[in-house]
Amino acid sequence: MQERDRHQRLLQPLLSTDRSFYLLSGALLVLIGWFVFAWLTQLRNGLGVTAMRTPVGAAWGIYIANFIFFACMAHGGMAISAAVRLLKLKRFLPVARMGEVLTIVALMMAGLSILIDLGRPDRAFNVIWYLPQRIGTSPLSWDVTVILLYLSLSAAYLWLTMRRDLMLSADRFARRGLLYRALLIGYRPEDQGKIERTAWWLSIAILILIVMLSGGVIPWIFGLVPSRPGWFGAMAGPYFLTAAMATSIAAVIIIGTTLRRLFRWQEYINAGLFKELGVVLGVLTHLYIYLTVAEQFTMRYASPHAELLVSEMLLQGEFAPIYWAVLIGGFALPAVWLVAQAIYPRLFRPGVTALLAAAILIAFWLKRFLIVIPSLLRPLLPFPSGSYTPSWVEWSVIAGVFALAALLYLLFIKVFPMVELGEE
Amino acid sequence: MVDRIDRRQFIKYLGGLVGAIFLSRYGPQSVVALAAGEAAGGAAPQTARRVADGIGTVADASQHFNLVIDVGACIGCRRCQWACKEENNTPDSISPPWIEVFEMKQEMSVTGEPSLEDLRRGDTTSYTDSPREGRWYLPAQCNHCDNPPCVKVCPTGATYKDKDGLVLVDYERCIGCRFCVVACPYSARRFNWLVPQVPPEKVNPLVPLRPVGVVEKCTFCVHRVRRGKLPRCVEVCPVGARHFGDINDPESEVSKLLRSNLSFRLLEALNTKPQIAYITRGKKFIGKA
Repeated sequence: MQERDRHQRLLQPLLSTDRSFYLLSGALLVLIGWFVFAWLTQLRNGLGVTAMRTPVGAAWGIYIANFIFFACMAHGGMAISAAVRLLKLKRFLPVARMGEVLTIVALMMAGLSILIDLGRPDRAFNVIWYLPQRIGTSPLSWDVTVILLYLSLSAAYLWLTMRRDLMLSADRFARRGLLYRALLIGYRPEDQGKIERTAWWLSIAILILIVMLSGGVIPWIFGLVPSRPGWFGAMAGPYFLTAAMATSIAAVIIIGTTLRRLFRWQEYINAGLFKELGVVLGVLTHLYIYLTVAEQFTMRYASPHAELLVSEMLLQGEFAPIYWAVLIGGFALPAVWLVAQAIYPRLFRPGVTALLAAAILIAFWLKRFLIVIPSLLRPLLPFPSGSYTPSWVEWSVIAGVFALAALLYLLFIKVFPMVELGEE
Repeated sequence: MVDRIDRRQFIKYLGGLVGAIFLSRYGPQSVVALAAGEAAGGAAPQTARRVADGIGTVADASQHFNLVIDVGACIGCRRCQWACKEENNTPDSISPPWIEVFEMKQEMSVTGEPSLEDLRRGDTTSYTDSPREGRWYLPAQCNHCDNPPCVKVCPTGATYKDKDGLVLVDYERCIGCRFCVVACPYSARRFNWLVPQVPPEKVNPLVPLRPVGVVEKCTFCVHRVRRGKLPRCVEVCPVGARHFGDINDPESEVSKLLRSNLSFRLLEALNTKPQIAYITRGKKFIGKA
């Protein structure tokens, strides 16, 4: 009976829907509608409606910053889940699926951001069509390959690990029955051992892919380009990988604590879990600060001309206010507090951890902006330095992509069980 | 009635089918391309499909085009810039013309590595009278590199290095991702941010009009040079600072100029192997002679 009650509580979001859900999704739909309008404006007139320009100005803008943000966020979510399975970290199991869904949603948003950034989205398929000729040298082709692979693996993983829960809860829902039955095709409860073994192998493949993707092909879009001061260098890989892990752990903390409070899952999700995630986030953010300092130090000490100019833009020029706010307010202070929780457990409050994670998450979005834009504003030939202030179309698109991500996540919560129902 | 096949078999057949389709489309081509080391130089040229100049000229592999610019003679009049715009149907748009001319300080050495001071100045392209005392002029456009970073990063092969040395763009294949724009150290590439507008009476029928959302740049006037004519910028230069020709021919003007003059190229340290050489032969128009 207790089992029954537990299921009842964990399935709460699927069983009842109150007005706040409709209000929230309504608000998100308005934002998405506005985004569609902005994108149509852009499609009709060309990318000229953005603030991007070349050669004086930035040829890439916040669409690309958004792409990196979401692509990197996609990695850690799955990494948490894969690590849970691989190392059998049972206590993190309640947030495993939150991470998996985050991965799928974030990957879709990353793809969407790239599509929006293309001058000819109608020809996007050319990348697939000419892949065999270009896979040898184009980092963008590598990206498409690995992201597609990662998306399929993650979706398969999510599906495999969710089927038992669908089985356990299928009889409760008349209207979702059809969808659940479709997803349960071929499922036999006695195969559970086999499924777990498959998921275990999938975790290994996914963890390797994550290093390839967020420590490899995505940073190589930047790290392999010697013509952009501040991008070129071997640092890009570890730099992006650290950011990816930190971003996604921050996102999982925010999602986990919010859902826990919203649906009163306190007895099923142990708060200590968020403390541990918070400590990991704090350590990763410290590491990221260290990498940032190392990067800037290299850019300043005996630097080539253009690198010096970009570094000046960041540390004392037009981007300095954002740069220092991100570094101190967004990274240093929250990271110190999060690590302090490990030493003084009394300091820990789930709400505070979530707030700090939110600060770090926002800082990472801004940091992506600081990675992409300043380096593009300084050409190597003596063009004047450009400037870039995103236009209303760009901001609308970014807001819409975030709204879409939130809506997809919300729908998942409403349609599928979010916390694994199986035994404790 | 066919025998029922079990899931394992079904997946095997399906996998085989997908694999066969994939191999027939992608297999031999990519293996050959990688083995031939084309990875280093970019896409394999597919001459039959290449009509990027819009009129179907074909590269003559025995030629290798170079541009030689005498910065000692250049007076910074920017006639090349405007003639290029006229010749190549470049629209009045938010993208500037394909050629840029920088006004450089004379105290700095005349090299292909711009000084910190020139980089900081911010008014190098907005000068209104020239030639001015104490200045020299550096015209820059696509360098048609022999090791082109733009070709390397292109995810569709829309930009490619042709056999006569020209780096061209296939406007029908380009997806507008602008990776090449970002990867070009010379900022030579332009993008059609808006629907390009060229008044019909001004259109040069020999050069295709570009659609919105694709990348473009200097073609060394591919439609002219492959027919034995000079690029428009070379033709209009009033002081004879620009010279164009085939460096595979030892008797061509550019070959002779490069033999008899010291020259530099832009940002040589990046190993892009640019195909525009700068010489300082003239020095007639700068400063008090």
